[in-house]
Amino acid sequence: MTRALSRFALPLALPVTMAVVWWFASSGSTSVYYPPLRDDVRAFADAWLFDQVDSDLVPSMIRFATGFGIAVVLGITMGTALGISARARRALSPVTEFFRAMPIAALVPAGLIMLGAGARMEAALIAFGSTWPILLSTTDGVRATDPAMVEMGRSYGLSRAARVRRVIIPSALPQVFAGLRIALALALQVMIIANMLSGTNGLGYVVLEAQRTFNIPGMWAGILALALLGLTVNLVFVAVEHRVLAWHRGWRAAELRND
Amino acid sequence: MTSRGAIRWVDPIGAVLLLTAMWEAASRFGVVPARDFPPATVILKTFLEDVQTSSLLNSVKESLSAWALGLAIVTVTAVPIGLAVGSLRVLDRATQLLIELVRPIPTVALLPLLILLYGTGLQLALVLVVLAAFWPLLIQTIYGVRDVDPVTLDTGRSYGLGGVRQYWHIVIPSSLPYVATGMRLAATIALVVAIAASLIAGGSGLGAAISNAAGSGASDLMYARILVAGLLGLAVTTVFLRLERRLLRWHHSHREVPA
Repeated sequence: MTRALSRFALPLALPVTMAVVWWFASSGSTSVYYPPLRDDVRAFADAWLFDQVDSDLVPSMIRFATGFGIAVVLGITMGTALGISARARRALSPVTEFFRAMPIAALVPAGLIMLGAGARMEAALIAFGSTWPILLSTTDGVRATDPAMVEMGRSYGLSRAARVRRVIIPSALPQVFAGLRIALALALQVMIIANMLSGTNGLGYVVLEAQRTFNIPGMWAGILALALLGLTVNLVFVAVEHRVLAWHRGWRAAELRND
Repeated sequence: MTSRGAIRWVDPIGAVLLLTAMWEAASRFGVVPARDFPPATVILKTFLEDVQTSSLLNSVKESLSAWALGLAIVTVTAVPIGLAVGSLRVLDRATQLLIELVRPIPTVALLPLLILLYGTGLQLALVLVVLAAFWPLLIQTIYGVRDVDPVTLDTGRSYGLGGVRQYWHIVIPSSLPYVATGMRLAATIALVVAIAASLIAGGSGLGAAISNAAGSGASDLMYARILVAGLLGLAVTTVFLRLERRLLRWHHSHREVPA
């Protein structure tokens, strides 16, 4: 009983207390910046259930998914190629290192000049920003593949392409997911920054526009929506990772038992 | 430099020169509009002039101050909290859900609120940096403490190491590599949001310097300032990667999946 209490009640205590305190402490609030939480929640329900879903939430999510999808494909394929070829890796290292380190926010004005405002620019920036962490982690993962495994693949008659697909990429997957996790957080930030700077619709634009027109509950509602989006995206990611890496965890657990 | 050392540099330098030459040619021969894509040599010349102006140096100084100060605040808060949460089961239980709920929130979503509260100057960038950099460092520190080898702890205990001395001699040194990884992740995201703050809010930081150049149609100046941001990013990443590798050298374990 007490164990169950500490396992489930304890984690809940802090967030619930904070929400309750916020609710009651702000209930009589006359502060412009912190309106009663009740008003924020009402504004949230008004706006996001479901008025602005079509106009702002869905477009933002499509840009996010397109950009991130492109980054996954580019990052993993290019990262695998660079992991296999030491020469290409060294030749391109100034480029990969520079863009990995580039604070992606600085590129938003360049994106605007190159592609103009709009969905295409936002998706392209998300793709560009998230490609590099995925690429570099994939490269590291591919390089760390056990050479004996690759040799075994060769002696079993696997073609070069099959060795890449069935030996090298699976063994690099844990590293790939480490990169994907960094890229995911970055992609969300880029989505918001690009949208705030240039958007005419979308989540970032809506939050900043609400602030500019002093619709403070609307601003809080948008922040809440973005927080929930971040949370959802993260949950989906964890579920996918859990599924894809299930074999890896099982393998490692077996390895530990044999030690 | 030996000739072997020199050969190692041929490919990377060649690749950079080739890409620069391609950009230069594309712009000079009108493959891309020269107004939006000025030739590389023009950008380089503008860069060399611009970095000598006090206005650019001041904007870099403002963004870097917010970055450094924010990172310092985060280091003295997140590391001790992480050490406590990682080693006390009650605290770990009590905070785990809160951390999981707050961590995936994209920090820049709060920018509109923070602009209302702090205006557009250094303070805004500073608060945003603290909010963005806190979580990766906290989570890596917690991972680090959890990963301390229990056998080492037992050994220490049987040698009479307990309490504060146990922390000082075992827990802190063992988790340092994780802390270093957390510092690197925190430092990179901190630079992104430090630039994003003045990019969106205006003011006098590097982000504003970039968007002002873009807004006035001086695309060569914009690219030159993006180059400044990229070089800052490169410096930050290189320093923190070095630090991390140095701290990892004696450490047997591999790092946990970064947050």
